[in-house]
Amino acid sequence: MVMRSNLLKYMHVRESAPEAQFCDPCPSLFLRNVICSYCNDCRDLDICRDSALLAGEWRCAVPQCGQPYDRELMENTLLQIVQQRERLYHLQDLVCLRCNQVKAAHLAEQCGCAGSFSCKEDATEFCEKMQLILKIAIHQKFQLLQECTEWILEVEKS
Amino acid sequence: MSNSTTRKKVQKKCKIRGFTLKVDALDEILSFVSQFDDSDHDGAIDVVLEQLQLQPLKSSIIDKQTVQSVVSILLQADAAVDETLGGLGVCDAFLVPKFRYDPIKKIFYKPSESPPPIHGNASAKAALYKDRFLFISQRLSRHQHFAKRAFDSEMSDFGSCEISQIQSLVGQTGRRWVLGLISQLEDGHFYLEDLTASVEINLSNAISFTHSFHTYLRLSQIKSNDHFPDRTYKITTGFFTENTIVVAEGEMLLEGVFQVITCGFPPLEDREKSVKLLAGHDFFGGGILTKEETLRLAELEKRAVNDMFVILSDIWLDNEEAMEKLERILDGYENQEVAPSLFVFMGNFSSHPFNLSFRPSSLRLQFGKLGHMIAAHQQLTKHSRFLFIPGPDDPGPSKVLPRCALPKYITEELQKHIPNAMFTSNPCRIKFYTQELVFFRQDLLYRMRRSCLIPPSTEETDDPFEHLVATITHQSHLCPLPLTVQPLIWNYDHSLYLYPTPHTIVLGDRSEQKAFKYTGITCFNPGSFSREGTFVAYYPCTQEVELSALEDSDSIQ
Repeated sequence: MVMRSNLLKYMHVRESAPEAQFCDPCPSLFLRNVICSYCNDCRDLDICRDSALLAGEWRCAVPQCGQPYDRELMENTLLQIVQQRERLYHLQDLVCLRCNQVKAAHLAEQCGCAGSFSCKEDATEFCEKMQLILKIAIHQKFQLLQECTEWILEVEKS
Repeated sequence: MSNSTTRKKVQKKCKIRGFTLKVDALDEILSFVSQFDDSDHDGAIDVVLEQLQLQPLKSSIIDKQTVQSVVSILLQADAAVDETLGGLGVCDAFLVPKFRYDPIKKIFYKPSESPPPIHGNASAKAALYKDRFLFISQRLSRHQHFAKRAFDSEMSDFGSCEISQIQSLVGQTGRRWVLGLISQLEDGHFYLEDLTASVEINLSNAISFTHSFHTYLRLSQIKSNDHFPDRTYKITTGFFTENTIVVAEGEMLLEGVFQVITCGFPPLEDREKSVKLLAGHDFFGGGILTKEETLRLAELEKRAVNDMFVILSDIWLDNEEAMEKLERILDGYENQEVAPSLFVFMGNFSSHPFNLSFRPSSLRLQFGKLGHMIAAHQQLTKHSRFLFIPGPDDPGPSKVLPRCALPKYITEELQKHIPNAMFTSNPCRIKFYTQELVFFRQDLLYRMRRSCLIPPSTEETDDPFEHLVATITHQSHLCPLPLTVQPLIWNYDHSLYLYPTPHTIVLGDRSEQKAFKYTGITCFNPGSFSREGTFVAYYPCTQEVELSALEDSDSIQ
């Protein structure tokens, strides 16, 4: 904390300024409980932060094993994530901008307090997260995953 | 017909309509018309001129640009129809035009020219319910019993059935009719919601009663304590689930609860009546047709006695037995004199649902095998069309409805064998000349029965399939279930509408094969092919449904 305030002083940035807020440069995407089909090792993989994965080496991290992971299984897992996220988007609650209450009624366009509603997770946020998966799909040549995420992101086909 | 005769025809027709054609405009019209057969020239000219009349023209002098824009509109109307062969047009759910109803101007309008985004904003979610409600309420306002009285006439025998706004129920006594959406706004408490307000209702005392609207009007004459125990009420045929829109008659109690006396689905509107009102708007997605076109196509439809569609649902490509059965069916039709015009293959295409252990690469190969199997039947490959509709458990971007066509990765191998195979969304719409067919693959029966709030009325029918058909047609919606049970893409809810009511509805359901004609609508379920060996042969010309099954030893029955 002390180091942080000192560094900020050097850069002439106030502590409470918006520039001083920590901004995650790269969101994480976890594949939970990935099992190696050779040694049955089970671990969580962060596709965005793990240096080995980013380099394209999708291999078991256990030093004695080092066998490649089942690619189809990985693609399937990612596709399940995509499907689940898409489903959750369309099930999400709407929240009133003014009083923060969750919308209960179906037909009302405005909240009882006359505030308007907004999505808890809006389309831009959702698409940003999807872009990540699309990049992985293109990078890893997951054809089916790429097609599906492109559809979700409404990528124009030439 | 020579060019000069056509020229003179065009000029004459324009003169009758009061247009003055510039020379280059005349040439444009001629080049458009020449695309059609000689016998169709008349019809084509009429089509162009009618469209011209619909345009906002500044003067009666028509120039080349106006004609070009009209021609492009006419060609665009065909764009929504994917493939046209022998009067067959397939419309993908994502290409169905979207209309909204303006209750103040009392018109339908297109909110935008471009297709809406798949991920809508907050107002899109409210609009989903609001639009459904408005469509039904505008339909109800034309119904003879619910139409607003123009004059202050004496009460008819039945009393006023005018729909009251829920907002106006506060502090009122006496019987009122309301139109509301059933919502569970609080756990265990049900409400009727309309555009103005919501009111709590008590659902625990419903008893079933007859369906006919006249009957339940008559019944409402009976005071609630006369013949029935306190607080019971009557419902019509159908599955009353959360989020269905109902017409309810009742009284406000002191506790602020609306005591329902009768409750039913909004009455159906005759298809002809709806179509007349919506003339000029393409609700189905099959393109706008002029009167002449419609008549011409109706003639062709009547003559298409040999056209037949073979419809199968649940074709498990990974199941040897199912594939064997399919081969027998294809063999049988190969040897018939006239090949079926269309084979509709609905999912699911795998006996296992798409989950972690699924191997898309094996499904890809299986589709390839299917393509090979079909291609081995030369007559069918030459004369029939093949349409594939994905099932709820097939691989794809999402399980939210509408669901897009099967991914190319899965279907590439099959397309090598059958290049003109068609892949479309679930649900999808098919136009056969003037007949409108809606195809939907979803295990609706089971889900509707589970989500039902009141046990369905047994007065009219015991058959759950008939209840299902009554529900979706009266609700004018293929899937009136709560979003939590079946998520929907908010901006594409309109692709599940059944308004105006189509001629035929095909519901691919895993329950047993059934067919049912309901107020002129032909509705059937081919049943699960891989489990029961059942399928349907449908003759669109006569709307005849042939429920078929494959016995173990016989060929096609």
